Amino acid sequence: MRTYSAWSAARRLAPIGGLAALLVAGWACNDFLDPDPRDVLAPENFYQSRADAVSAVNATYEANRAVYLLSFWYMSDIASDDVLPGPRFGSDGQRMSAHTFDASDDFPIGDQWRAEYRLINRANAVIGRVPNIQMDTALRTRLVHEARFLRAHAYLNLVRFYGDVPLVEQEVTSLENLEVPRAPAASVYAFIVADLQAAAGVLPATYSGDDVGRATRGAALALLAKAYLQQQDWANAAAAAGQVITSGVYSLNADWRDNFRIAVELANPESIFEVNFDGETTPGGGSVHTLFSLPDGYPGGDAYGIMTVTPSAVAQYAPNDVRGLGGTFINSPYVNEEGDTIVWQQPPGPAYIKYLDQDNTQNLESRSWVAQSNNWISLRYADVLLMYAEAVAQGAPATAGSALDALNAVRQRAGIGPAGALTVDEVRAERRREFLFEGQRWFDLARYGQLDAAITEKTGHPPKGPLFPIPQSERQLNPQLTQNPGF
Amino acid sequence: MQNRCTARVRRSWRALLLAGGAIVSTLTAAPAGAQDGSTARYASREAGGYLPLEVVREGKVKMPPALARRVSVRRSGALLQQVLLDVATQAGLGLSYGEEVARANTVVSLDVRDKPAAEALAAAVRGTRWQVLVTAAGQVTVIAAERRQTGIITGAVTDSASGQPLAGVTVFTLNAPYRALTGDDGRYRIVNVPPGTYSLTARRIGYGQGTQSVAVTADQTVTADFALTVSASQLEQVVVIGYGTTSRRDLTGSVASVSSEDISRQPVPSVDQALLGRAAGVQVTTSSGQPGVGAAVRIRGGNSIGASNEPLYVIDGVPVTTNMNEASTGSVYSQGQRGTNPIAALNPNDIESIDVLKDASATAIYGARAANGVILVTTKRGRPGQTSIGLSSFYGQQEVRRTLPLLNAQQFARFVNEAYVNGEDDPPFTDAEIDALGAGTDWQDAIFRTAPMASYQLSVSGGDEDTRYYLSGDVLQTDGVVIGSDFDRKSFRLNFDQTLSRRFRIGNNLTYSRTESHIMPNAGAGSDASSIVLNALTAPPTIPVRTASGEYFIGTNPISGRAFNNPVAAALGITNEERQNRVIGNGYAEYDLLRGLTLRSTLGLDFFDSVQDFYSPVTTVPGSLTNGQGRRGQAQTTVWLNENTLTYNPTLGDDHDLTLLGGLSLQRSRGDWVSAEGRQFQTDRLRQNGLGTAGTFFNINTAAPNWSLLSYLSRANYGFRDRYLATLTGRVDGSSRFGSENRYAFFPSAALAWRASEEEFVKRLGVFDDLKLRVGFGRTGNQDIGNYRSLATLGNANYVFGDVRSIGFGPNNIANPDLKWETTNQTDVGLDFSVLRNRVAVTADFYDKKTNDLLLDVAIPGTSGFGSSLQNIGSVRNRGFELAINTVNLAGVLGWDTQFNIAWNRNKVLDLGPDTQLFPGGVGAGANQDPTIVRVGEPINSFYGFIFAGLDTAGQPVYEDVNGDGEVTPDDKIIIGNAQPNYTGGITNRLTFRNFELSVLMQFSVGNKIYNINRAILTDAAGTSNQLTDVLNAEAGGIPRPKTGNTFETTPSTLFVEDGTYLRGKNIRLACTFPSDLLSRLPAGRMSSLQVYVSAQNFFTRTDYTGFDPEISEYGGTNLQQGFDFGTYPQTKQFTIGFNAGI
Repeated sequence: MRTYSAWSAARRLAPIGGLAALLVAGWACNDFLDPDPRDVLAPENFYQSRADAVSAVNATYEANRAVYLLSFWYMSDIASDDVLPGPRFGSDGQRMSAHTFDASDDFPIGDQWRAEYRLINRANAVIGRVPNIQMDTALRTRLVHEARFLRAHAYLNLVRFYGDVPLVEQEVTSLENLEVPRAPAASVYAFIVADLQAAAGVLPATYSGDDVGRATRGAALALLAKAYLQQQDWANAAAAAGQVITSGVYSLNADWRDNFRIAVELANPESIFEVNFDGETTPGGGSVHTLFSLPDGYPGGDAYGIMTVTPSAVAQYAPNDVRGLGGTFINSPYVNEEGDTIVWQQPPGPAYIKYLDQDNTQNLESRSWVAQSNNWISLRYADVLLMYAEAVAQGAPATAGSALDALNAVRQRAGIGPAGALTVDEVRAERRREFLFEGQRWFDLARYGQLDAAITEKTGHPPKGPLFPIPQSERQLNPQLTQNPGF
Repeated sequence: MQNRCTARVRRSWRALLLAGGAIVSTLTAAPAGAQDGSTARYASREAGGYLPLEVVREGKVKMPPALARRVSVRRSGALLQQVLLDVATQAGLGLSYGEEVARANTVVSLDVRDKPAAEALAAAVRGTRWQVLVTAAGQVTVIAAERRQTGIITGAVTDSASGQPLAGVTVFTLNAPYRALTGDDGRYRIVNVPPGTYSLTARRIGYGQGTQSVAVTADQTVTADFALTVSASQLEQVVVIGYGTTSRRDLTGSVASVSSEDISRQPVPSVDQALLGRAAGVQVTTSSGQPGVGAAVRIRGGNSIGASNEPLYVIDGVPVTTNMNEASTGSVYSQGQRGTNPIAALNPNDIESIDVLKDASATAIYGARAANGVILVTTKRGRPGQTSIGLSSFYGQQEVRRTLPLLNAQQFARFVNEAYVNGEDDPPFTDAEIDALGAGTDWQDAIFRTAPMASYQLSVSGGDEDTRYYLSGDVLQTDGVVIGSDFDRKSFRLNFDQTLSRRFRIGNNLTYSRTESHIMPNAGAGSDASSIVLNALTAPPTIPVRTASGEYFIGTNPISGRAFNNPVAAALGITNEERQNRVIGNGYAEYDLLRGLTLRSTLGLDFFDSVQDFYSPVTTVPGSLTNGQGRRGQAQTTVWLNENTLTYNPTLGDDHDLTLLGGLSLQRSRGDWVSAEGRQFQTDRLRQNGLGTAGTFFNINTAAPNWSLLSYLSRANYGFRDRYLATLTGRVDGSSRFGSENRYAFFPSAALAWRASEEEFVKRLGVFDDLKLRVGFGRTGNQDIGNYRSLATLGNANYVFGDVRSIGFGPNNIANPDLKWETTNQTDVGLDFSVLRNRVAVTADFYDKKTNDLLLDVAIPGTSGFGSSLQNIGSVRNRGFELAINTVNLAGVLGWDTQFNIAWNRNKVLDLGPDTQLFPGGVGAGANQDPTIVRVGEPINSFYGFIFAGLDTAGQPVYEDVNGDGEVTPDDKIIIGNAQPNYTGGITNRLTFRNFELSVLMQFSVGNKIYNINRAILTDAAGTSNQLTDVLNAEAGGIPRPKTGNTFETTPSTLFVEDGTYLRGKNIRLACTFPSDLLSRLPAGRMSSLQVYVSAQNFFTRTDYTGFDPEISEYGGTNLQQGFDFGTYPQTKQFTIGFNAGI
């Protein structure tokens, strides 16, 4: 009898105890609902080691690929007086070239805006978080300044395309306060200069092995020169460019075409900073002009034939200029280096061939959207020489030798004779010949104050304004953004 | 600490088991002949034995004369034995009692005047722990009530019209927890019933309730037989409502039920298909004819744009994952990369009932997962009594409903010539060649086949008073009508219940299944593994399946100049296979803490393992381009669930009926995924099993998705005088998927019902047998957004320095700590009534649902560095009306009943935050037209495009200048149709005559549009691929002038929008049930029941749709891409013969 009661009590109590324990467990285990991501990195479980710091900076470089995928050269080159669209070019390219675009042309205007800020946010994450990592101090400082270089690189594009832009200096981690107003271009430039001066003081002159391709002191100084030059601060521009020249690290490639040869990308003495596309291990857009600009029917894979070179651009090349026929452009019919004759209808005029590497089997035989390994050349030594020449021609003191010599080094390498005297116009003409379709022309025209004239010559009317419009899509999301004049 | 704790729990469990065992042994010692006792035999056998006083008073046995003698006793605060002695003395009864009575010193008061002694004795012990027993000879004794022994109630339930035994009848005692179900022989058995008088009730779906009073005495068996009459009102139907059951009479919410009989009348491979046309407001779209494919189920329309719209499936209390994205690694090449349907793991024959919870008052108990409705699946359980063995099998043959009228070789050659001539090219075929062609290859004939399907099902169930089991297994083999496709399932189930004591019950549900399916490769037109069906439709009939040497023709297509993707070679040569293992089950323990207070604790498991294989050898595209191409993906998900509920059902008198439920639920899911792809194989021999031997590797991915839910739930059901009913529900859900600021959500609901038919003034009308008005309001949620979306995360962003790939990680998702569930507020007003002696029963519901805080990926300022963020913005409304009418038209020897349902739903996007319209895209590869749009003010699933305005002089389509600005621009696009039907429904007629039953399910969908991309490709008139014969008929409309260089029309327009309205004979079945007397004379002997049947599925279809079949949705599981036909595996029609035998 008594035993039975004991069983009975046990039976009563065990489940109650079990339930109570579970209720307590439910309340007590607050971490039961913690998402516990095991296959996803979160800021809380990252930024802790040397390897994390390196990875965070690598991702910032990666963001630069999106910056230079398509939209950058739609705006810097197709909108300039160097490119005419063929009939097959889509409406985006037609509108860009004819300057009939407006703020609602989200490609390329909105894409470029977002790609730049995406990079900036990654750079800000590095600059804000990596200094807290316990690691080799020298490496940590270098990594942070690589990010500062990349951030300045993005802001320089933004300020040159859009003028006043929101200056985001911290990593964005919250949906609060996303409506950032535009900062005056001058303060954006000041921010760029501060980043680049700091980077130039820290970054190494060169890298070796697996680090080749990272931002160097020379890259920071060259970009600094570019930032000063665009502000027409000739003395500082010449001084920064002069530092690159006197560093002795760089020299012109003997063969101009080596700048575009995949085999010697990053490794050639003229290369200062490139955006690395590798069609093998990281399939992506690559340097897609190779496909866009080659004439339709060009053997070996995709060749869209949608762009042609403007007559004014063709006319500037002397017959003996290696950068002209066969260098920058070709005419139909064309006999290639293998002796094959190629005939095309599209584009109807001269076609670009600048980015086709005729030594590269992939470029020649299996061109496709996803697998081009041509890099985007951001800074090369010829640019530094010509920036120096331009600044000195504008009256800056020559801190690194003769500016005329600098100009003539570029000319002579191209197979044309030296210029007799250093003039601003000589330098400007040389820049156009040298950098056609390298993302320089829009900014150069803006700096020269020649945008209206050049665009009117091409389209019959001036551009709507000296700057690109702030993307309409972004203005809808951020009412603080004012619009640029003309849009 | 934990060890000690575990040890203590172990000891407790051992104690419990020992206690249970002791009780079991006591009961098994009961007299063997007890169960076939009858009242008469019982009475004769009781001589000499003691019977409880109340049994004697009930008059079931002859009362000793002394008990009828009138006595008068008045004592206050006296010892029990003294009072009893007074009564016994006055009546002349003998009295004895044990020492425990004497020691207990129970004090009672009694005041009776001139009352029978029996009544006085009963009054004396009322409220004490003692019980009076008497013998026929008039001897009285007193024992402790606890020690009284138990009896058994048994009997048979039959159909009052046919006399046939009724299986699945619940027989239970009112206000006491004793219940049983009848077996296939119609017999039931309730054991462990304490002596006493009970109101015994028998309930079964579709039958009127039967009630009778039974008196149970110790160690005896009492028999109570029932003959139930078919009832159209189904008032007494047991409805599963989540964490409990109720009767339809007491239901306050909107719940549609489908019974096992309904399911068994339709041989379907998968549970979701059994719902089609059965339940008002439940729209089931079987997306294709691929065996094992999932159906898109929409209960009262789709609420969500960015999260799932599929209902929550709960199988025996275990919520199971049906999210294809969670289950698929994307390694099979099916459209949308979706594999087979996880619900297909369930054997439909195991299902006792499916209850679809539709309104918020019903679903709110499932909180954050309930916004799309809840489908509760209850599987069969063992019943006490004799062992029942069920053997069922069917064999069927499937065919495509129709093939498309395509050009034969001669027609094709002439058409190609015409296109070439118009394109100013030389015609490729000479007249002599055309004459020699004949009909050429019929590629549809080459890929379609008559496909057999077979099912074998065996179940064994039974048990005794304490142990009940249901054991089953099934084997299903379904070949697809497209060669190379099939679906096989093998499943096993054990449902077990053990009564350890009167208060303590344990048991489990467990099913394991294995499915293997070969899926028709279909990754969209123009893709590497394009749809076999579409390839067969477009393949030139001038090309042979095989070359003269017997190999598949895989050379260059002479018409297009490209490599020919031979559909037969692809269907048979490509491996595109999914193999799933699934275990769903739980174990439970149920304990009655107090009378009416029950604790139930369950531990559940949903284990899902899917391996997905693809291999294309060099003899097929795409393997021919990559020297063999193989993939394997494996997704394994383990979901644990612990639920603990307390149910309190107090006795509050006749007027009040209250049930309270409270509980805690913990659920956690852990997933492990891996997938990889290899190309460039030296040999095809190892196929996807030799990925490691590939030359190059791609897409090597691993993932480990996790989520957890912590929930508190409660419900109160209150009924007053069976007339006013109220249900209050509340659930608090905490989800790991939500932001840290919004981790917990509260989902309340309230419902009121008024059973007006209980009111006198309604009764006086004499019209309504039942009349109930229901009103409910509630809030539910949708949390199905994938994992980690509220967190800041870093994405993989690799970069190359030098020639070295360097790993990078950068921010790719911005934190949204405010991220939360979508909230759906739903109001439901319902009316249930039955008239004409319950022969006509009607249920009507109007509902209005508004879903707020939609989970939308909205754009945020680009200066943030992020493009978009998942936020709670926007709202969608669904309103609708549902009507279900069940009638018993004839109830005689010839029986005829009808179940009809129809539902209207109107869906409208109310708000999209900063946008007024979205273009979701997602219409698959190669379609080149994607007319999907989501626009404020319009329903979801709208098609957006131009109005076709005829052909221009060049024979090309032109479109209407809608805005009249003189040119056709994208501004002239308008909404040109919607995939959502105006209304849907079904009607089931069942005729019975003697042993024969004929049932016919018709089902319809009216007003839905289908966007027929196939047609765009099959009428391009470019002379490169085969075409519909419509191209020969200028009046067919919209056919471009044949010309080389035509490309298939990629402009979305009304040209490809077709009416998808259909009326379909979904199922017809003629069954013959053999009479039991005939069965008993069979040489086989012990067969207790046998039914044979023939049936046909999709036996009749009336539609204007020109494609294979109107019941189609290429992107079946998606929210925004409904209503597309694009190389979709066509639906089939099917003929089946089968039998169900009981042994």
